[in-house]
Amino acid sequence: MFAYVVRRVLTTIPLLLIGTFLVFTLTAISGDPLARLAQLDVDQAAYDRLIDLYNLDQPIPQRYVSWLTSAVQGDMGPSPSQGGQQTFDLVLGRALNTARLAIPAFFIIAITAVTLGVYSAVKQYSKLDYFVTGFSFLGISLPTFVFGLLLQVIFGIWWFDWFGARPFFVQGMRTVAQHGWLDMVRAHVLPIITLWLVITASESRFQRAAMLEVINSDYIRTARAKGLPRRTVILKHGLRNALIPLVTIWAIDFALLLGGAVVTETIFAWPGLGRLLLAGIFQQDLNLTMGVVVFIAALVVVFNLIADLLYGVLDPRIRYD
Amino acid sequence: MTSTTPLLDIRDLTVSFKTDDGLVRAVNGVDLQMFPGETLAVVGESGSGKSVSAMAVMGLLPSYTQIEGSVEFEGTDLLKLSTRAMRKLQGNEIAMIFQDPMTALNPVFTVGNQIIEGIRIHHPQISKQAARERTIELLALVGIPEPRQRVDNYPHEFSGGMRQRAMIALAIANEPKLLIADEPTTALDVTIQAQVLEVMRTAQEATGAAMMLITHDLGLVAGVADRVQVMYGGRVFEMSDTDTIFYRSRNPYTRGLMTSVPTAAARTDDRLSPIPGAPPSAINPPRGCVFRPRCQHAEDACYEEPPLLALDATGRHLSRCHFAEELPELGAQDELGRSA
Repeated sequence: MFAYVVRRVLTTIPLLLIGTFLVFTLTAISGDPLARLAQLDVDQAAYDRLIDLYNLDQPIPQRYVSWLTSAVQGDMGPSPSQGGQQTFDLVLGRALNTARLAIPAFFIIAITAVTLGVYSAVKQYSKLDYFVTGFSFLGISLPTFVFGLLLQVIFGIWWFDWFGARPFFVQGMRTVAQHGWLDMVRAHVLPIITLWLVITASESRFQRAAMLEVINSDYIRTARAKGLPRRTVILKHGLRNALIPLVTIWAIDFALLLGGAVVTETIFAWPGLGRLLLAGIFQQDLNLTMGVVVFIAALVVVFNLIADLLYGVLDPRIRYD
Repeated sequence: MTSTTPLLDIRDLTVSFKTDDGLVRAVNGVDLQMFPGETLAVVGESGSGKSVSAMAVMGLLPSYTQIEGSVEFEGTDLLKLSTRAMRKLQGNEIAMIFQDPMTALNPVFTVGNQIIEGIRIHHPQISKQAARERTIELLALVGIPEPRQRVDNYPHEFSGGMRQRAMIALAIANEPKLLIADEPTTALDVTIQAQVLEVMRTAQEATGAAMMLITHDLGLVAGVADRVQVMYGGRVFEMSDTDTIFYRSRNPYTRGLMTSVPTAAARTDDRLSPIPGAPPSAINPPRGCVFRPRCQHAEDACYEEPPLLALDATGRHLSRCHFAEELPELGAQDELGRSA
């Protein structure tokens, strides 16, 4: 198992190299970092600093190599668009803000998706199943920016018109330390609901399909023939098997959530990674863009590894050697 | 071996499924009796209703199935029992062995734990340790080598034959009175089939259970069954003791089944004579006798449904054919069957 983990980590190195090189090149060719300075009326020294920072007098592959050389030493460079703060600190700070949404959202999503998926599979073609299936279609087809804005309109405008108060904050982050528990919760509700709808919709469909396949299998018939109560048959013999394919989905979704939900964070003005990435791209801040990208890539790699290891725990047929 | 009060008494069992194409009548007025300790073979092609009948006895049919008739087990009609009451019988008084051992065991639990679970659900007073010891004994009984180590194996660490042995161990764990084996050897290698059959016989002797052996393999039947019930198109076609079925069959379908089985002992110039055509549709069965379109003896009378005739005074030989008494003796069947 240890050897497996080492092998897996080693195989991600070329992946990360290719990935970062592609993103670096695409970002570098998609705009001119100096163009922003032209609007600011600055002297030549400012231009020179940026040229020097990004080695803009060199070809892109050489720039990538010098970025990589510092990056592997833990130096992600300063971020010009964020007042020259260190990219590493910026990403870490924003990642914590994103995690405030991502972690609760992930668990709420996982629990509701499993529950909805299992119920609609066990009661296939019932009213509840049609309701869950309909809900999934709604969640999958409704774009995040539409649903998020809809929530803002409902709770920020209509609710205020009807009841004279706003139950939830529609913009910005609140922390316990600065604003107290109540405001913290009120600020988290709407972005989490937005994330929840989209991801729960797809996860519950996966769960339903996995559970349907399992409950029609022979070993479920065997479990019933043993005289086990329905609950034991479904939850112990059924769900235990139907969770195995879900582990991969959870890993991907959790990595995506922790990597920052660009649209949701933008709608709710949440100072997370997604908005940081957006800022880096729009302001041609190469260091910042690369910093966020590397962080997201690392998340995906780590969570996929965790998923593969969890597989082995859940399914005894899988051995790592 | 057989006593007069049946252990299992199925009367006029009809099982239908609603499908998009219409009502599928998988079982159509089946009667079946089983006596304590005996082995009854239920023989028929795919779609003859044999498995569905067994599932009806086990209470394993999906809830949308329409079941009519009665299935009395020790005098209680199983069809009228609540699911809760039925669960007390499942795996305890009535146990089942399934066709495909590769998929019948849950892959994520050890073989031992699956058997222990089966014991403890019906006997919660038995400690985990005692149930484990019992499981090891059961695995030894069904011929699993090194049962003390193997009890902690997962199903994927067992071969197909061993998995079926484990399924038999699971089925007899609570010493059931009735053991239903649905094509227990069909999915196994030929060399393993005989072994598994032998294990089933040992298991049956150890528990004194009556066994319903569902199969399409007449060769299997000859060795183990006391009585044979032949089914076709959801109906009983012939029923008698094994010898009578093999040597004095009075039904064209049973005879057709026998001439379509290849035997190693057959002369090389013998040709197999399979039954022409395909089993009847369960949605739109043919008018009259369901076997009529494939029967070489069919006449005008066969456009009426034939009754299940008692061929002797004791009712130990039944056949569903208008011409049951007029069929030629079986000795002549070679010419008759194989020249056709």
